[in-house]
Amino acid sequence: MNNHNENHNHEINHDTANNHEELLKKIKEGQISMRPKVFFTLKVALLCLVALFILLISAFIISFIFFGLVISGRMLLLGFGFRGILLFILAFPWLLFAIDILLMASLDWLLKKFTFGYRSPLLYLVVGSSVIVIAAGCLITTTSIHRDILHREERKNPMPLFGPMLGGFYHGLRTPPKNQGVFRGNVISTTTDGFILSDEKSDNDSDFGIASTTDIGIATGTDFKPLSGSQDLRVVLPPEIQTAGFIQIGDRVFIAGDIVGNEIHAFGITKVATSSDDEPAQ
Amino acid sequence: MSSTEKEGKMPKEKIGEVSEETANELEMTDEELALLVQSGNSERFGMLMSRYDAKLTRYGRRFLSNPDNIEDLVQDVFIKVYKNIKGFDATQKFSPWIYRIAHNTFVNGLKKSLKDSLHFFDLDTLVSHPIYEDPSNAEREQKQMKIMIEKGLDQVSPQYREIMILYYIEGLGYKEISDVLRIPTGTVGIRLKRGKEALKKVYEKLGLKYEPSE
Repeated sequence: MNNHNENHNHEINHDTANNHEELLKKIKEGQISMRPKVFFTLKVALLCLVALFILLISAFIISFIFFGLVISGRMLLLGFGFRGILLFILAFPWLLFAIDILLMASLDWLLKKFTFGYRSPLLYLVVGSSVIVIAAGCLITTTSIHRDILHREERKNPMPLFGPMLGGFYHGLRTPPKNQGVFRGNVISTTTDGFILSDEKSDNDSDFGIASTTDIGIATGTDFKPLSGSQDLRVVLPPEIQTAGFIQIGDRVFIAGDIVGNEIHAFGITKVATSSDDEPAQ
Repeated sequence: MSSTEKEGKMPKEKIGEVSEETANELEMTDEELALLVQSGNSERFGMLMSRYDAKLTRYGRRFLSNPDNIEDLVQDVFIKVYKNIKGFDATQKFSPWIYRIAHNTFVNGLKKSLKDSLHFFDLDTLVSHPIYEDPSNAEREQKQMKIMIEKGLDQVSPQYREIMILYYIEGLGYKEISDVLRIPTGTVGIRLKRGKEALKKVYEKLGLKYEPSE
């Protein structure tokens, strides 16, 4: 039995030695060669670049979502109670958000390739990378990049390089989701139960004097049909909001409500800044 | 496993049996040898192969449920090691690096035959676990555990099997295993603990006496 085992081990060792010799021979003959150091350096550099690129794109999308929510006034819906929150959820750009989540997931997958990445628990890595992406997104939001792209898009003067591609995303970004009963405009006169809203220059940007025309109308199903003849909209305020002096002629307001015939029965209203339509001025 | 063996050196008593030049070579650490191979001294690669052939074969035999082509796979590992050796950072330990290549090669080998061993997502890697200090670190206890693993390893889930092989049989530390499997160090500890529990169940199922070093 022992002899048999010895013979077997001897055979294995012999085979192993042969395999090693064969491999060394192939190496000497140049059939198997080492990858150059630069290959590995470039690989790591490429990995870092791709991770950085994904981080920036992801942060840019986060800031774009935030910018879109602010400039269209959707963010103000959060102050309109339960219905406002519901509308906010319905009007949220979920597809873009899902794309961003996918990008962040791929960023985490890439980070797992680094020692610090795989040694950290996944939860920490996900939270850490999300915090970095959101922080970078906030940083981008403080710059004027989105505003510049939007203005250029509105003036049909896209930015060089990525402008034409990016511009499409900014098209109509200011417009609130009117078919969901969300409007922004100027108060042109007051009535006993509300006011008349004019939208003719509501979505302009006073910095650039752009007068973008928007349609005021009524929703029929999901389609939105402009009212014939008039750009004005009668807004009926609920009794609790009909406080004297709250709304004055010339005010710029953001409203959310139900479309009933030619009227908007508002459940939420807030004043917005008159100089710029981006920021709320409560 | 002795400390000399862990460092990738030959035991001193054996060095006396060979020539001085070879003795110097045998005294070299794996990292020093790898550095020489990186600088073009491909002859030294033979020494690295000699050092790791038995270890990788043993690792592969236990890792794969059907290790018919283990020699070919180990040969593949060495080819990959040679091709990628310039990507090895000689300031780090060589063994986790080569075991990582072996792990990937064996996983690919396993993909062809098994599906159950591949876990895309593992909850254990999600959160931080305190590093479970295994009390069986002492060599005698390690040996005892090794014998037990030999008996019941085949029936332990592949997720725990590999980690137990690396720790108890190949003698790798938590950090090294973390580098081989690319999982957090805390996860290594928790998996080892669960692996031992799984082994205990296997022993109970087989009606064997379970005497771990606890």
